[in-house]
Amino acid sequence: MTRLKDKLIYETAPCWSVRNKITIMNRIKYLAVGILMLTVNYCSMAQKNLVTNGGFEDELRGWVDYSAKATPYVFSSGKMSSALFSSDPSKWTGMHQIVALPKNTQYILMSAKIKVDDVSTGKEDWNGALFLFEMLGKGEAKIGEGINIASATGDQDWKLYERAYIVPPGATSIKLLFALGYVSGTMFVDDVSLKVISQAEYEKYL
Amino acid sequence: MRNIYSPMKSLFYVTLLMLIIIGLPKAQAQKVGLPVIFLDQSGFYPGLNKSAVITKDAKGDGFELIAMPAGKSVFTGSLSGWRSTGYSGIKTRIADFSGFQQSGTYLVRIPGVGDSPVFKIADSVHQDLALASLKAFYYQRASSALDKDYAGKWYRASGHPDTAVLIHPSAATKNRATGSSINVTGGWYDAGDYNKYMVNSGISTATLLSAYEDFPNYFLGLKAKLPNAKNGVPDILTEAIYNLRWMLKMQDPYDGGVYNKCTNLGFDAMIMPAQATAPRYVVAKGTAATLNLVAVAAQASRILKDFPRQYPGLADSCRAAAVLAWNWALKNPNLAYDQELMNKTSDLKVTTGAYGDKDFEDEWSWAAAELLITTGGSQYYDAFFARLNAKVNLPSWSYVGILGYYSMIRCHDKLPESYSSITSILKKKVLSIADRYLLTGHAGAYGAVMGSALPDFVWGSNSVAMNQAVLLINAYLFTHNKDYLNAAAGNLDYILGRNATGYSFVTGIGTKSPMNPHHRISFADGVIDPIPGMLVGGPNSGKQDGLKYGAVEPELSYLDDVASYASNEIAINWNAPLVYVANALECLQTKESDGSNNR
Repeated sequence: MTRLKDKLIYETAPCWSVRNKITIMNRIKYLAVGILMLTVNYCSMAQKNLVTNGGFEDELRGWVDYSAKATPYVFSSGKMSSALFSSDPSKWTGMHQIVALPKNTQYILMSAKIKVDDVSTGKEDWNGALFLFEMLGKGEAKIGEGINIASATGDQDWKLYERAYIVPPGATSIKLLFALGYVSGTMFVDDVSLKVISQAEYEKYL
Repeated sequence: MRNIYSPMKSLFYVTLLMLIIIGLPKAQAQKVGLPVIFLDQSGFYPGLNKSAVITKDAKGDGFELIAMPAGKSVFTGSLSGWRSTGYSGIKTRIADFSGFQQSGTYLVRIPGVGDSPVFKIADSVHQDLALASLKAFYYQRASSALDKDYAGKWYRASGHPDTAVLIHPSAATKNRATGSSINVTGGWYDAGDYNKYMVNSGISTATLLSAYEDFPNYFLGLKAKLPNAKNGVPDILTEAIYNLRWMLKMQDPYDGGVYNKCTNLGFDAMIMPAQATAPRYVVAKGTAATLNLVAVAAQASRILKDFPRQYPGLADSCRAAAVLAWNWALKNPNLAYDQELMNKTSDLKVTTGAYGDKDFEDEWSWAAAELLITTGGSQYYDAFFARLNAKVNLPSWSYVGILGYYSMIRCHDKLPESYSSITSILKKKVLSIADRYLLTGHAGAYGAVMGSALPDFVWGSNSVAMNQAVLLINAYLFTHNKDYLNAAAGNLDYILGRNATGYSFVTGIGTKSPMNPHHRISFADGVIDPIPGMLVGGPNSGKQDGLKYGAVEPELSYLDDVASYASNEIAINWNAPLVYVANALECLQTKESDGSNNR
């Protein structure tokens, strides 16, 4: 009996060992794949442009426009851009998009390329061809004041404007606005982007 | 000390000026003439930068360092080319002798210009200043007699007991009716006047507490000779706690809100504290005052935890007061102190300093930071994080946000792990200012960061110089880059004589210092010398006192005149950064470590 038991032990022991090895190897594999997937997922989230149709290749889909027009004649990249035109400096002429933020987003990078033709100066310093944003909370309630990223006047070729920003707790979305704010002239907008970035990336913009 | 100019104040000072002109007591000018070579009249540390400035033509380009009393030349150098300020007609040349590091007593000789005042190169060269600037707070104590053993020739009777201060109509609540009284004894007189303001107390007390937190071992050895000092408690804490206890009394325990100030209805005459017996009031609660208490009490709480035997229960009381005040502020997030509006609704019109801040985002940020460090509460992190996009400014009574940054960086190790990574952002924001200072200071006409731009010459410009230096020292502590330390020392050199006026702006320090500060006690005490260790406001291009200044240049807009409240008043929020800078340099010049290793 003892011998049989010994034999069984003798015969099964290596088998357990192999199985254990396979299980451990599998676990390591799954773990590695998991980590890889998480990393890829994070990277793709970090890299993903959250703006819908930021290059205006699909005309104004995704944008709320009051007087914007998609144009194939002037663009920074692709084949289209958005144009805002105003001949009345007493008016606000613009477009916007509300961009939902992934949960627990802390740092973002907003950017756009802007070209302006013959944009007048307004009564206030901030009047001009504007790129600004507002933080929105639950029910799209505005948090704080709108913040200007760019205010251009006169003539200016395509120029990249960007702003890294810390998302305050409670903010769930961001309203990106482009407007001729109480000025006349033409404003072209292209390559609008909003990306989630890491703290380390955010610090590069300080 | 405040940009709170008002017609009533103007009337008061016109009267004061007339009294002075017709010959009221004292105020003889110091007999020493103004120097022709401007340098730090206290001297220099061997291992840090050293320079002097001239504004007159020299014969040639050379200068000499002369050892005294032997009169022997020990170093020669070349003057810099002419430098311009960009905002005035003054041009300067700089004699840099940083390469000379031998301790001793010297003067700078420049052919065609003359000799500088005699100065020292030595370790601990600013020890007297370090002690005097701290002791100056003791001389500002309200509700306390100053004993001869501690105060020397500036001893005086107690004034303003403030044990039965009236509730002003603006401060009345269900539990504290108009005309009832409360005990708000103690604290420091704010400045040249005898009132006590929470907002200005906040930054002043916090700056002293931060000096201790940055250099705890150094301060254990610093003895300023204060009464009732407890065993094992550094004098800087003893003095800070004197004011802290007053700040705690300014909180209404029924709801947590904090009164803006304890004040007369109008400024006292130029009399001693014991003679000033006008009724005192606590006036309207406000968000700024309340958040100042949050920040200071939270910071004090974590410091006092190390002194349970000497101050039993005080750490816990501070923490509870801070949380209570925070909760009040949440319910009253934007309650400004509008004195003008208040006076329209009350017969008891108040015309003393307003400190009327209207933007509280920086106060929220600072208060949240201090409570986060002390308690680790996530709600405070959220409140701080939410305000992290804001631009930071050099601190003053109305811009306190960066005080929280300093604390967060200093207390990195005390933060919950999940929050501590944020300090790298704060460091970068502080460094963005410090690096700009290095650039402008390097090319500055006075060899200092201070004075490199016209906006530096505001009311209390000397506190700008000292707060710039505090920022630079903070940058040094977490980078160990000695350029920041040299730039901080350069600003102290400016304060102590390397400036266009030739004055050392600290009473009792240097060969030519103010003798007639706008300071009631120094004016009325019958002692010729003003109370020592006080930093006067300094050149102020605004010249709001309406006096005749000898020059139009911003950097010369200074008068050593008791009536010059715009350039020659003293204030606790100006002295506090001087305490920080003088003591930090004393600590760091001999031992470049204390506190800095933790960052």
